[in-house]
Amino acid sequence: MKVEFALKEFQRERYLKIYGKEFFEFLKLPPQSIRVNTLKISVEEFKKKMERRGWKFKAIEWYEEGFYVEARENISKTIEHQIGYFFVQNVSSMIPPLVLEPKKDEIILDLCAAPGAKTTQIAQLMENSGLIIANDVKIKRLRALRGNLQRLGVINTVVTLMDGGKFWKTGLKFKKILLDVPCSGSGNLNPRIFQQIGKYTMNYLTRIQKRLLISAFKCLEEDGILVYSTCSLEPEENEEIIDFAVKKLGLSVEEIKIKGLECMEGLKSWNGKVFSEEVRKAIRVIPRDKEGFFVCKLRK
Amino acid sequence: MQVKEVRFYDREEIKELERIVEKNYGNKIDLSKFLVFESGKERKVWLLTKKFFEIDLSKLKINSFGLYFGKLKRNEKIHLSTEGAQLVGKNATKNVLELDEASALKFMQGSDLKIKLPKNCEAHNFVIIKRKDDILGCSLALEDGIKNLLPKSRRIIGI
Repeated sequence: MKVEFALKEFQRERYLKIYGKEFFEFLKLPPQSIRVNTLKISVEEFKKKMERRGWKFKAIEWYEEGFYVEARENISKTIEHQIGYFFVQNVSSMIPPLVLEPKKDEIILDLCAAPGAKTTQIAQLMENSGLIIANDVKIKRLRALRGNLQRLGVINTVVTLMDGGKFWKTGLKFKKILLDVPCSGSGNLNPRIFQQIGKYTMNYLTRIQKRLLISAFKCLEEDGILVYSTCSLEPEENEEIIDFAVKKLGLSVEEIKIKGLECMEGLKSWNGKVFSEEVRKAIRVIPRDKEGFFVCKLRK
Repeated sequence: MQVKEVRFYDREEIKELERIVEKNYGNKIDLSKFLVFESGKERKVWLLTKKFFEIDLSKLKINSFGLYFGKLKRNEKIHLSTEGAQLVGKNATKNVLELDEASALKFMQGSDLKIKLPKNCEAHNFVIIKRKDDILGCSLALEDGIKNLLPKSRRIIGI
C-alpha cells in the first residue's frame, strides 16, 4: 500500500499542520543507509573495497561514517556484513549518539538499547573504551543486541535485562544517558504503522515514555546530559514529554548543533497546549530521504 | 551470564592465554589491557574493558558482558570466535588459510571445504580463515579440508 493512502484523516491533518504541504512529497520509504564500523575497518578501506564490487556511496554531510548506499546485492547478505564491517542503520538514528557526544573512558547508560544500532555507534565513538550499560526489558530483543555487539566487535558493554522504568532503583548515577524510548514509529513512514496508531496506543506509549524519562532523570548525575529520542512524528511523544521534563523535572534543554542536518525546531504548542520556550531547542528531523526523528538534549 | 558465574584471569593466566594464542597462530597479542574471564564448563574466554569494576554491579540484572574471544580446548588449542580471529589474525603466521572468492563464499554459507591445506596449517587444529585481508572466522582443519564451525548467526543464508 502507498504510504499516503494509509494515512487516517486525523494524521493527514496533523502532519500538514506540523510539516506543511511538503510532507506529502516526503511520503516514501527512505533509501538504504549504513554506518561503517570503524572498530573493524577504516571508512576509506571499506569504501574502496565495496566500490570495486559496484556499490555506490553517497556521503551524509554531517557524519563521515554514515552513507547512503546503492548496491545490486542484498547488503545484509554479504560477507562484509557478516564479519562486522558495517551496520545497516537508518540515517536519522545516527543522530542521538552524536548529540550524546560520548567520550573515551566515560561510563554511559543506554536505557532502551536493543537491537543495538545506537549502542554499537556509541561504542564506536568511544573507540571501544570506557563502559556502556546497555539495558532492555525484553529478552528476545536482547538476543539481537548481543548478536550485534559481538558482530561489531564491541568490548566495552554490559548488557542488562531490566525494566527501564525501575532502573533508578539500582542507585547508579551516570553523567550521560541515552533514552531512545519505545514509540509509535510513525517516523518510519511505514503504512502499516500509520494504520495502527490511534488514541489508545498513543496514551499507552506516552505513559511508558514518561515513566522511562523519570527513571533516567533519577539516574542522571547533577549537570549530566540526557538525550531523549524517538522515531515518531507525534507531538504527544515528543514535545509534550520534553515539556514535562522541563516543567515537572526541572531539566533544561540545550541547543543541538549538527552542521548540515536538515531539521526544524520543536513545536511551540499543540492542540491548544503551549509548551515551555525551552522545547523549541529540540529538533525534529524532517523525514525527507530519512526517517522522521525527534531528538532533545537535556541537562540536569 | 552472571558475574559470580565467571572467573577473572590474573596476570599469569592472561600470559598463559597469550602463550597459547602465540603457539597456535604465531602471533603474540597483548591482552593485558583487557579484563579477561572464563565462563562455563566449556571454558569460553571473554574480553572486557577494565572500567567494568568501576561501577557497583550488585544491583544490576546482568545478561551478558564483554566480547566472546574463543573457547579453550584440550592440548592447548583454542577455537577463536570470528572477533577473536580478527584480533589475532592480522599478524598470524601459523594456522591461517587464505581462500579465494568462491571458496570464501562457500565457507560463509556454512559449507565444509575440500581443500589442500598449506604447510602452515596443522590438521586437527583450528585455523583462521581469510579472504585477502578479511578475516572470516575460525574453523577446524582436517587432513583433506576444513570442517565448517561458523556459527549459524554468522552464515550467509538464502542468497
